[in-house]
Amino acid sequence: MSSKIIGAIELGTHKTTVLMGEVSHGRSLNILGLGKVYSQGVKKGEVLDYRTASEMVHQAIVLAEQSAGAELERVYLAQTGGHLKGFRSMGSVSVSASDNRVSATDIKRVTENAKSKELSKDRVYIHHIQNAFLLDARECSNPMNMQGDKLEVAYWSIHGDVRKVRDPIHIINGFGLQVEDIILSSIASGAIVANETEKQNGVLVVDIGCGTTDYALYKDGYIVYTGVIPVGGDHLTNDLSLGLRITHDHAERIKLDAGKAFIDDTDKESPVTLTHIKDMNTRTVQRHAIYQILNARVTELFQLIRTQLETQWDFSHPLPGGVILTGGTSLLPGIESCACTAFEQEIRVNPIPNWVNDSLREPGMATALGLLQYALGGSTQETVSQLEASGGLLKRVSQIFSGS
Amino acid sequence: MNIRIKIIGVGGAGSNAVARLNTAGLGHIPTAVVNTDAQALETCTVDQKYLIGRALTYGLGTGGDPAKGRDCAHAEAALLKELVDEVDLLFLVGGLGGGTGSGAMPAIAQMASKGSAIVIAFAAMPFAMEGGKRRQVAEDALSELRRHCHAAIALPNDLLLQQVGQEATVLEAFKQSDQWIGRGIGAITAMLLKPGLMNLDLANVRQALSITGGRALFGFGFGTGQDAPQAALNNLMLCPLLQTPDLRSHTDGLLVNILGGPELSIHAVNEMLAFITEKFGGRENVAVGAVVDERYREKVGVCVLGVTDIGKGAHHAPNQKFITKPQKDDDSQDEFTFVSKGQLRGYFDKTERNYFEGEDLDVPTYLRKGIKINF
Repeated sequence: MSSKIIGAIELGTHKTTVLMGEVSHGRSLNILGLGKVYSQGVKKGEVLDYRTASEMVHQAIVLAEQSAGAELERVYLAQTGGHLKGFRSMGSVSVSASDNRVSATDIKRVTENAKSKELSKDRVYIHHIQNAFLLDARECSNPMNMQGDKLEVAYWSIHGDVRKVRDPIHIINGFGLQVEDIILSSIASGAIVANETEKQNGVLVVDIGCGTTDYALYKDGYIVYTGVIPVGGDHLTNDLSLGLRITHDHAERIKLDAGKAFIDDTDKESPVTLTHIKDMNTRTVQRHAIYQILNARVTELFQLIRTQLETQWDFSHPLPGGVILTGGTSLLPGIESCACTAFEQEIRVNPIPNWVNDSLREPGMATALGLLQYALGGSTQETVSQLEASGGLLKRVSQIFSGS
Repeated sequence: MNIRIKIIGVGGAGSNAVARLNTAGLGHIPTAVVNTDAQALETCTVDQKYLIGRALTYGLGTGGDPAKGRDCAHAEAALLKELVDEVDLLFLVGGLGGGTGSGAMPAIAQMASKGSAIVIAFAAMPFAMEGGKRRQVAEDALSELRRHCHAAIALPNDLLLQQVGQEATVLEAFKQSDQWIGRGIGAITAMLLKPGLMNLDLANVRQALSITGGRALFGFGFGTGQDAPQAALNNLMLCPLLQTPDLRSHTDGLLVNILGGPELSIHAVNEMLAFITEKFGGRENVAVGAVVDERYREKVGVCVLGVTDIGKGAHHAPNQKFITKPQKDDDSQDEFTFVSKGQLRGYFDKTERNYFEGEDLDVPTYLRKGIKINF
């Protein structure tokens, strides 16, 4: 097969994106079509209203197919939501052969050992991400035929709530499309905004969306930690709405027009006029109040991530690849300075590579782009081999659906 | 016939609040305090003091255990029943999150509401910084309280902290909370006791608050100057207790009191009422009182107390309107019926709670961290 067309679907809180692409001769990636629909019935990355969500996914698929002039068959789906949890597990076996050379069987045994943890009925594994092997405590990426007594391997495993994982798959299956695989949003975004060198050196990718913030920490080329905090741009809007006592829509506008996540002294005294308030005289608020509210939220968000990662990285030392911010909310002015204070690292915002068409290089597209990159570039990339292909989604899906 | 009103403070926070209320000029209403902590009662300046659960706690307090607080109240059922007997309107005041307030207050409310009394509770909710356990205790107690009261008004301390300066002392912060309670009691009693353009009687209040088990909405506004009524409404919309992202939320029963000087016209009252009913609904019952007070020349105060039926365990009152307002039929607003006011989650109100290490991340950060916003 010389070319294959694949779809990437992100059912986001702000918008639903369907991106179609193909890879020719296993090399270059072509983006063929885009369908984008503003979401409804999705909050904090989770589908609340099944029917509305279904309609908008359908609409986005139709738009993408029209712009690509092709039909979708297989899709990859981004997965987020506060229900996703991860844990680290270790597998350990004694090397079986008498000459102490590691065989394929040993590798199989140790990986199975590491992944043997059973989940409760309502949870399902999304990914098992393999980290480095340890052969007699020496790190190695491929221990095959190496000599040693004890073979160990670490996994970062991510699991989610069966029902919440099932909903978007149901929706897509409803249109006669097969979901090839589900990929964690943070891993998808990481695939496009961070390059292999950065992943090797150590980099933190933080995708701040509308409903959730998804992050992934890479070390030595491995994904060592991922997390989802169900806080995003909607929370900034809600905080403003409650704090300034204005409607949600109005707060959204204030956030986009006058929002800033960092406070400096020059901002103190300039007022912002709040217009369009029905039945009320026009009010003004100090810019400072807006910044305070946003700064408190964004700082807390970064602090939460930092606390979660404290076991993996001592942030008082520089992370060689720094911290990469992406996602729609990373467009908020001042967020870079705020992240810099919170992480004490070098911050880059939305470094989507140049080959991506200008119109698609916005931070809100990172997950969909990364998903496509991941799905298509897949087999040639190192990180992908870490994601277990064991039966792919089919196996997991059967697990998902048998549970119902 | 005279209306018998009583204020009872329960637990440490409740006793303190009631003690401070006394000095706020509400002296003509009989007050009492109930506590499990003998030492705290000793220092309390209220005349009628009752120690409950002496046999259970030896007067040493509950140690933060609401079950103990409840047991103490049941152990003194005879005493407490007598205390709430022959009261028409009972105000219960207390802080939730500890043992006595969280345990005994719902128990007393239950005893009182079994009698003839209308029970309105003011419950101070703990600061976010006090931790997840206290919050959980407080929320459980609040829903218990809702079941037994005609209106249980939650006063989130986090919100009230926004109203005081950054350098305010703890005492000032609590005083702030007491002030809200004092104003609430003042407004409701004034509505019943003072002569006015429109008088309310107990039956009206009972009718408006006939939905038990619901969430209560409570807020004030105050305005002065030429267009005092409009200023009061503007101020009402800024009331921290009414913080809501979407002001279309509806209540199922609404009590409105408007307090003004002799120049307050029936026209102005009508205008204000139109605004308030549009904002807060009260589709089933609206009870309105308009009180004239010489001291309120060029000043207008407005107080709203509403109850929203949240479904479980609630019973509807017959459709009866005391003042019929032309109400627009707007079906799109129906889905907002259950949106609460005091819940601080706004847009996320109907979604799952977002707990992370004991804090609900959907609640604005500045509120949880006690960051004072100057605007």
